[in-house]
Amino acid sequence: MKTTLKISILLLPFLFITSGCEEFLQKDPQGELTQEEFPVSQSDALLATNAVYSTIREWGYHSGGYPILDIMSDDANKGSNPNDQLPTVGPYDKFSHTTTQDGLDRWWSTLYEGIKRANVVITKVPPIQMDTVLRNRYVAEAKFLRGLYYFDLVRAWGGVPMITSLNPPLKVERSTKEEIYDLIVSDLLYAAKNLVERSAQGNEETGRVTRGAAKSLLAKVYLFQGDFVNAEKYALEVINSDEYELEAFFADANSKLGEHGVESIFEVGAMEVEGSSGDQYANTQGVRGSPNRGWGFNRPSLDLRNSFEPGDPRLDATIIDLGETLDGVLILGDGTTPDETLDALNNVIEVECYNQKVWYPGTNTITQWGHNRRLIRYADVLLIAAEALNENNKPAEALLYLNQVRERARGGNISILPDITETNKNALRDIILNERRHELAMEGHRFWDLIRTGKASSVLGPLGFVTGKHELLPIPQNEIDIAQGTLTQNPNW
Amino acid sequence: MNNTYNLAPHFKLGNNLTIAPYKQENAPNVTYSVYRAQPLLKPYYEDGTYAVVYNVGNPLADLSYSNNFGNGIRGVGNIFAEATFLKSFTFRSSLGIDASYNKSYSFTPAYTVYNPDGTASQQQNVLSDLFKGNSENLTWLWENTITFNKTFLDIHAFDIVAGYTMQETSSESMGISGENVLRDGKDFWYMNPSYIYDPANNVNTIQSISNGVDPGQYYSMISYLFRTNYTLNNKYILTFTFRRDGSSKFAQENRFSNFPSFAVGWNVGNESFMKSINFISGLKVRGSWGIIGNEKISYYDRYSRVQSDLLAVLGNPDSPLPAASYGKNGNPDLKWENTIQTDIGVEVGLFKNRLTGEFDYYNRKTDDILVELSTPGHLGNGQGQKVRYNAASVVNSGFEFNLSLKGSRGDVNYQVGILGSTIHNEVLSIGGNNSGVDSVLIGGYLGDGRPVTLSRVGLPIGAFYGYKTDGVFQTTAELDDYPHSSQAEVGDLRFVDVNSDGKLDGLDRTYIGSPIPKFIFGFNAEVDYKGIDFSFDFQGQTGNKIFNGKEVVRPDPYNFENHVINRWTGPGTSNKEPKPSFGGYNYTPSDRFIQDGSFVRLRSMTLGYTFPSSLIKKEVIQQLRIYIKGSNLFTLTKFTGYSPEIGSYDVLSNGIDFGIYPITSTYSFGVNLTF
Repeated sequence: MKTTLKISILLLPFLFITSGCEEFLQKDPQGELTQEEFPVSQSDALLATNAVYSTIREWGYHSGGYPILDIMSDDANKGSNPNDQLPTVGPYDKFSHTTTQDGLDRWWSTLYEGIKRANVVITKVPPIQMDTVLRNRYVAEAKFLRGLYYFDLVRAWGGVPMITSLNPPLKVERSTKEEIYDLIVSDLLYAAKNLVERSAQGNEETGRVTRGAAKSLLAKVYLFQGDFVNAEKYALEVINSDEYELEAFFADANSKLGEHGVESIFEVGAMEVEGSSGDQYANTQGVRGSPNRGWGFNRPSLDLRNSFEPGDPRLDATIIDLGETLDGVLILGDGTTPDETLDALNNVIEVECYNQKVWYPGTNTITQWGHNRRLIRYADVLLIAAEALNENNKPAEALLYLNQVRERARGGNISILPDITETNKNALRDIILNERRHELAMEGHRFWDLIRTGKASSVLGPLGFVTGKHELLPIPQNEIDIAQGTLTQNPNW
Repeated sequence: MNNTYNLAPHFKLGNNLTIAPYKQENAPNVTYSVYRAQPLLKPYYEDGTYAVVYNVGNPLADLSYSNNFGNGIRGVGNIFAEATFLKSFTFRSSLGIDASYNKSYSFTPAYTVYNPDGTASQQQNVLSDLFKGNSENLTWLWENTITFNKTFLDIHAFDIVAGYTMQETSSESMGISGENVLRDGKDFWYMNPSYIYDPANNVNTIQSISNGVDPGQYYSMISYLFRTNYTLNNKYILTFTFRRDGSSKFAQENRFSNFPSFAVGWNVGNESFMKSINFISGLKVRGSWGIIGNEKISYYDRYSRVQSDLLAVLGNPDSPLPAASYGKNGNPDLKWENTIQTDIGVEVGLFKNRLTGEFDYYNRKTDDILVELSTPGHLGNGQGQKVRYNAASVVNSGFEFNLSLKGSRGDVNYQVGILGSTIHNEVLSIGGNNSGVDSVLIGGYLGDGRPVTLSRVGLPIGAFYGYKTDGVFQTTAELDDYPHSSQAEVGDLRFVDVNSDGKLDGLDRTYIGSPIPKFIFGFNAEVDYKGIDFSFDFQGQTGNKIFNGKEVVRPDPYNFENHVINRWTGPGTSNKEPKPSFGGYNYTPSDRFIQDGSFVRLRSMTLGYTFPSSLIKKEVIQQLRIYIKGSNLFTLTKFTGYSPEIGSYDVLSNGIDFGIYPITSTYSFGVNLTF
């Protein structure tokens, strides 16, 4: 071979050494955006806003996965067969849960993930060049949802780290309960101002947050803070907006027929898919065995069953009993769960039954994933109005709204659920609390209602509730450990 | 296929090529299910159908209904050109390619396992599932070196190499999954939209399409290398090496790192004064110091990416809408992990090398260990998500030895060897500039999210962390007499109040053992006598602990390890095994779940026979040997799990038994033929 040719072949590589070094070693993410590049356009803003909604469909959003709020209350027991999740969920039933209990970490992480997604919209969408009204609406939707997530955090744990920007420091101390409530209120006020009423939404936007939803949540937040004046104000604004009504049939308040219906103020949309577009909330509590709709957790307790007034049709609509037929499906229940559980003295302490409020027509688990959980419904707002009015010394007006709820429950049968006429503030307060129990049973309200009205010690004490400790859940031990002293644990945990 | 062509006196070309197809079936790991299942159940009903196994699922049904296959082909080849010039210089350039194409597919039919009363149990698959995927990987490596090889004046031998290499690895994979396939048979395992559909709603049920690169196989590297080897008179050896490597996995400021190393050796045995000492046939002293780097992370660990697979379900009727938001944080400050190795050793040969030995002291300090850590929940990364950091400095040091004796007595030839190494492992520091890490590393997460390791300065890395136990509370008096958790009852374990503050809480957790052995060793021997050869090889380690992770996570009460038989049933019945409970207080991570992980395993044993040359036709066969061989024949250990060789998921999650698949013993029979 010619020498020159040889040498030129050999020298070729050296040409490459000096060129293209920088670019050769730059490997950007493939098929994925980096956070610096998103969101930058109007369509990005919509994607980012939609992402804030995806949290409410995650299993961990629903009190960490398992319905521990109702299980801790006097309304429900663990459910499923006696052995299922006994060490993980069982302890909540008897208030023997610890800082490492299952579900705490999941709930905490899921809520903060939702808050982060809201912060992406709240901080990154305003600078985008886009239609102003739409921009404000997206930010308002994100602020409502952020308020929703913080409301769960502050009720479950008290003061928590307040995160309102992206890339927060690794160590953040707990803010006070009051500071978190202030943030929630300011978020919801912005939302109420910049969102439209439900009637102004087209079918495509149904399910997105509305002005009515923001005001309803605001009323509830004020109620929890003990600010009955503002609770009354916003509850009445929702009532007087004429945007919502009670469903004709009580069962439709939570059934498939009532989805996106007149009573629904804010619900979790879900499709009948076992996976990302479905919601496992109803599957977790679904009938176990035959038909196999789910795991059967959150079993209505005998105490709840016996607390209903005689003839109250809401009892039947709240509890699925074995032998019932719903939507043409016969309920036989689970072979490994005893039909009746007896104590040492042969008294019945638990009966196999299931939460009818999560029932969805169908015979398998997949269809059960389609149930839309109602987070806020009109009956709740009526009862909030009644409670606030009563506290504000307006019992006559309080009775007006209280009796609307009872009238619907009555379903035309005048021999049951007579109108309440009590006007004594303390007595009426207790009546309204009871009405809340019967109207909103198994929907995750009872535990926190008992805490905020100061009734938890007397009602739940016999179940193991320790005053000064169990009002709050313990901060997950993993979070305490990682924080290396920055987070203080809740008292007596 | 290897070929070399000498094209010219000083120029040659060559190529190598290997092609390897493979086919495998992947079975689900049912070890943990079997461990939890109620042992008295029969796996089949009388009519032959699968029987229900409560809460756990019938593992035989799991295995039978799983059809998970992978097959593919891999080709590794390279071409090279080599030219010598000016007598001592050699230039070599080679381009190597490693390409593979893989297909994977999996099908699970619709099935139900029934309860004895005929109702469906929880173990069922309502709709059949099909997944088809394929992926390809390509790595090319281009190496260019110039070597200078010359001995001056007969005693100064130089061997100098300078080089430049470039490498790129890329990959892509695509997968589709769907539900409700028209037929179960293999002929229908194709993504035909007409046959993957839901007849009730008449919609196509192809659920997800994925396409992307393999995050561990998408990177490029550039390296500069230089090595000088100088030998003086075959007695003194000096080596100096320098590498500079740059990887695309790190941001520009941290991309390149330098790795020098230095070694000296003194072949004492070749010295004149050693010639007279006859029994010492070889003696060499050597020492070395150097830095090597590690960048085995995903290519995107430094980027904060947008998560685009989210969905919002809105509208009336409910419809899925695309959504995207920030995923977990990336760490843009990631940099090379460096290990500084120092080694001083002696090699000795005695009695004409019949007895040889090597003794070394080693010290390996690894800085900026790359490890994934959990982040605080308020960052919003989502539960269980981990972010990679350069988290700590760790040192491993100790002594190694390797002795071998060979000889013969008459017709018997033998060789025995023994080797061992001590290990001292300690975390030197945690965190550091810009690492984002504080003062402890928490890891070793069990299936239920509880961590069991905590690494801090002064302890081994991945050290186990939990409560110390001290007997069982026999009576109420004993219980009241000692700080205890509010959940503790008579008959439960007593956890030690380690910080003596009168309270039993999270602060009483402490170091309870190390997963890293203190001493690893091996013993091997080989004997042959008149054509019969016999050899065996033992391996073992001691000083390490195993955390019995599979026992701590207690999803169901159907099966317990047999030490529970000696449980506490009343005062004085047991001070070691608490009263049985279905999870809860006694299943808090503590030294109850720490076991001795020492073991000795017979790694292999071979017995062979070489036919004497007189019995075989020399023209056709030059040598014929038959042998039987066994691998992993037996293990001596106190560990109660299926195998004491647990391995590690990462450096903070080492020695935790999550239900490891037992090691198989294999027996094989073979024939060696030389033509």
